[in-house]
Amino acid sequence: MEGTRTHRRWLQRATVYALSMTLAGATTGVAVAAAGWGVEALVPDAKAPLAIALGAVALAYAAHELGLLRLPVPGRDWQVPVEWVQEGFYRSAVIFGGTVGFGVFTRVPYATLPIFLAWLFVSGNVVIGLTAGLVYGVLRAASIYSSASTKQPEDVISLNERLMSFAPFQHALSGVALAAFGAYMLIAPVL
Amino acid sequence: MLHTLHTSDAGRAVLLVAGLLMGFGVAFGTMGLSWQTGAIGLGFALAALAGVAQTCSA
Repeated sequence: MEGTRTHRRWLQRATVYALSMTLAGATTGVAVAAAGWGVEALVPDAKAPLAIALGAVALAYAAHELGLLRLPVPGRDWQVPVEWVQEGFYRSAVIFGGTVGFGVFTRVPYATLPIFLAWLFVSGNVVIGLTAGLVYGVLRAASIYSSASTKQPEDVISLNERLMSFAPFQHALSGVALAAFGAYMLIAPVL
Repeated sequence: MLHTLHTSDAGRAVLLVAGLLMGFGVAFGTMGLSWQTGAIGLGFALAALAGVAQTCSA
């Protein structure tokens, strides 16, 4: 009985965390797309040249993700301060999920995120920014539920190690996806 | 398979070329449509991949 209640509370807290993260992702998407919309209003003919430039940058980062060259990935090595999440069962979940969910304040290990945000800027479409930001946020937040069955600290460590073992695969997949995106953006606007 | 390919220079080059061919394929396959249409599809794929990849932050 007690275990069921504890699990229910964990599930509620995880959902608060996931929703906060999703909303933060959507906020980032809207903000970046709105900035792009503003630039497009000022310089209406900039979209295609910006898309082609983004294609070239995406190709460079494809090579980076595949380990063929090394480039700096824009991001910060900042972490949510412990004192921010020490109080409030749900409030701490909102603060942690919300802060990390923006994507741009904490560490960015994959170039897919900055290229994705740059694409939102080039699109200059707030509706696309909102929906793509929601897609990003939901998929990023969903991993919290993979820890639902963990009960001991060693279970969490083991789960974390399993997730980390996918990192080389994710880098390779990011490289292929960025190469496809870059090639498309380089050629499609001039076809 | 991607993990194995990623470990050698030749494998990395193969992945890069495969990605390039995919992008060119989509570009030529959607000729006649606005280029933004294809970019939206690829952009959403990037959004999904960026979200999933952040889970394995290493």
